[in-house]
Amino acid sequence: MSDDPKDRGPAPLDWIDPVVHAPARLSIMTQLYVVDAMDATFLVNRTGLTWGNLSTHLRKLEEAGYVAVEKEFRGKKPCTMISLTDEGRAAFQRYRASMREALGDLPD
Amino acid sequence: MTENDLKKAERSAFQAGFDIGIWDILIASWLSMFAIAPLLSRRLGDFWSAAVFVPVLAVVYILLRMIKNRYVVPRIGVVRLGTYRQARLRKLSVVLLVVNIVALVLGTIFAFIKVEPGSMLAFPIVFSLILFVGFSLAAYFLMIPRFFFYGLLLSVAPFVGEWLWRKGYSPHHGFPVVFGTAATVIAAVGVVILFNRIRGPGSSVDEPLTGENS
Repeated sequence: MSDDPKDRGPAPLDWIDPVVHAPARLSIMTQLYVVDAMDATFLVNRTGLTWGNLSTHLRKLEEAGYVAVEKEFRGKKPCTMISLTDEGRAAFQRYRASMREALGDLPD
Repeated sequence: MTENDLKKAERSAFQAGFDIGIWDILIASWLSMFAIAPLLSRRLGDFWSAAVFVPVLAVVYILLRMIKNRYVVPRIGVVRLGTYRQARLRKLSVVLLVVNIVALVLGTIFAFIKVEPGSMLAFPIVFSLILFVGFSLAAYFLMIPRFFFYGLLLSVAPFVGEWLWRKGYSPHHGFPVVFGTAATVIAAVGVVILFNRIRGPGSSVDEPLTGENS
């Protein structure tokens, strides 16, 4: 078997970030990537996730340093604003590039 | 994930957060001024018949803000726009300011020149053009196609009004009829969108973010 990378077949997938790759987290990151920030209610409506699911996936993204969760008060009501960190934006861009690299030149 | 997908996601988030019918109702309130002011002008004079609408518009604006904050935001949530959308809105503000200045200059010119009876169509043409350009630009920059149709509707209105007036069907160049009708249609669209947003799915409270599974 040859060691030449060209002979290994399709592009390797091990550099696809598993934190971003999960469908729910990809949906969250896509929604957050296109805006500055949104609150949890808006994110629940946009992604269709349950509050519990959202919480779980946000915690994973927060642990990876990809999202920032800030508690605010709008008047007397609590509001949880969520945004992508710079690291999160970079990770999302890397993920897009990786997926293009991995799948971009597959035949139809 | 392509650029188009991301653009669609951005546009969709913008529309979900901001296109909630309030703009339509504000536009309709503003248009109602064109419908009602001519009817008041005999009693209040040209200036005050229009000026009286400033507090009316302010009240409508405050009421809509209250409805938004009390009923819409708790259901749909809050979104802060990204730099792309903010830049686009800034461009729209500048462009609409220019359109308004042009309209003001042309309006002033029309107020001071003596219009010959044969050239009475000059005013509807200019008025239609300004309304059409203004609404088309808003439709383009906000990516809300129905504003383009509002522009079309309003650009036809002065001509229909002029025709109604010349035929003797409506006083004041037909403004009360045509702008009253347009304001009613646009307000109805706004109210339907607003009610759909209020009725639509979404949590009514900012629930605590606690996990139910992992």
